[in-house]
Amino acid sequence: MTSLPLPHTLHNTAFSDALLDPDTAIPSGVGKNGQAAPKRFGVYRNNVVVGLMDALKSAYPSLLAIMGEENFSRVARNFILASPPRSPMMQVYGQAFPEFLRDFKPLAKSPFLFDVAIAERCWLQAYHAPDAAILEPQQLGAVDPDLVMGMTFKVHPAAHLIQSGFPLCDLFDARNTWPCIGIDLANPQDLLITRPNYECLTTRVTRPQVVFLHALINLRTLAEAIETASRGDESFEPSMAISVFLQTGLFTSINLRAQQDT
Amino acid sequence: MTATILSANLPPAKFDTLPLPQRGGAGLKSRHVDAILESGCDIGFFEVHAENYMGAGGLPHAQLTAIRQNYPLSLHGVGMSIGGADKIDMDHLKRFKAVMDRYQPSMVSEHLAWSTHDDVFYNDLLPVPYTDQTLESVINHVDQVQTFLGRQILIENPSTYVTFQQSTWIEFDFMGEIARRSGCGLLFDVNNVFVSATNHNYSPQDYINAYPLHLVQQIHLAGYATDSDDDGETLLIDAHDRPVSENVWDLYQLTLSRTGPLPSLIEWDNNVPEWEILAEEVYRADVLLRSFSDEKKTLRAIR
Repeated sequence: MTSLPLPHTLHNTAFSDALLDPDTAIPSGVGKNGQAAPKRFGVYRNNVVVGLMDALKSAYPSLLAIMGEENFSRVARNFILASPPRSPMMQVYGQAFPEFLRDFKPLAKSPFLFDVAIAERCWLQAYHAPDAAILEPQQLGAVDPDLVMGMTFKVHPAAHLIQSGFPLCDLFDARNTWPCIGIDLANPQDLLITRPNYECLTTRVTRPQVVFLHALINLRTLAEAIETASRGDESFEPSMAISVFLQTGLFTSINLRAQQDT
Repeated sequence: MTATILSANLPPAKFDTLPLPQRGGAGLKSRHVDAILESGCDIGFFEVHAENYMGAGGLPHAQLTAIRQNYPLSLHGVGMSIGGADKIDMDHLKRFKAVMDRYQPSMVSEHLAWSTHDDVFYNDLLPVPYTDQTLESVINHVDQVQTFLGRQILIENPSTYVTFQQSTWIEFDFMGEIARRSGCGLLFDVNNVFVSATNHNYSPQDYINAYPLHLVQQIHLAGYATDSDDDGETLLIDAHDRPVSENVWDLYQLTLSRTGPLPSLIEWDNNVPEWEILAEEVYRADVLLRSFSDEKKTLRAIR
């Protein structure tokens, strides 16, 4: 029996179908001396799945620590089959992993995993974000006192502010400190991710600070942001919140126009 | 992170258009950058995977900029899928060119392999059947990439675990024909030669002696892992996870005896060791390269 040579496209289709699905037959004529060789073909299967699994593990190290190798790998394998990469840029692979986790039925009782995944995705985006110089305290100090309350700020391209109903900072730290003892799931924490130089910085912020920073990120003036945050919590301290954004490099520059326009 | 990497926006200038030196080089790993810059070590060149520098900014670009200011660079692609039936992904080619334009490498290379099909990227270097049809397709793809980049690229011989009944070309002739008709150069991976020769039961020495070595401009060396196939016979895996094996060093010397000294890269991508251990491998290549360089000079003097 002679087999007709497969056209190139059909060959790639048959080969790639068998790569991701171990139940799909290995294409004929692929193997050793013309004979099928599942173990040899298995090297490619293994390379592909392990390679993608490793990419997810390195993108989501906190999830890996919290879930453990076995559980993480089970979910990751499902994700890889459902959403294989569409680009050779592996640093963007797994962008849809948080939503996949959220909708993955066996994990429905662990909704905090979604928040951790979101934070890790933001961290990775911050890591690869464009470079930008951060706002220095002296730039703020040099502003005419009459214009200070009308200032708006330009947010740094690496910055992410994440509000969570879970102890997100403690959970995110699992990448460094797992196993953590005594994480209280009823203790919500909000997380600010910034990249003032080339290293990502994770900072725990209070809920009133989140309200304040969120207003500033949305181009509200300093006066408006203070008012919004104080309305929600009378104990809100603007000076503390300002030092948070200066120390973390949340903003790149000041805009005084808002005050001048009014 | 040390304070050494701060000059991310300075233009790389030191080695703008020079060819790679005929010396040992190392695949660049992020974790080694501080040690490399702090020691100012004497390494012939560094090679990076283009795909790792396609993000907008941050540490990867800061590190590569600092390296590029001090060492010649070789840019190696792993995702162009030149051996695939799909068209070349223009978005990817544009990103690749942006990395090339930014870092001005001395050499640019890719693989005889495919990794993308029907828009899915498999993140592996998959094997190509050697037929007239795939030859035409590879030549067209290489031509398209070289035209778009505006420069010659090198194509690397693969390591493979299966063969195709439909193949009608021998690998070394296929490589030579790609280079002859597309005008590309060749990157000769000696470890791949040993891995494939063992896996498909032919002599690596015969392969080297038959290879179009006059078209080779760079050499790769790496470590392999040993497994067994369906019949219990040895199956070598191109693992890049350990030192170069002694039999690959021997084949490297055989290659150099035919080609003379060429830029030679040590690839160590998994179980990455401390920088000093990788550097030792590079210096070992340097010693061999020097001996072949001296030999060439001696021969020239005798003549």
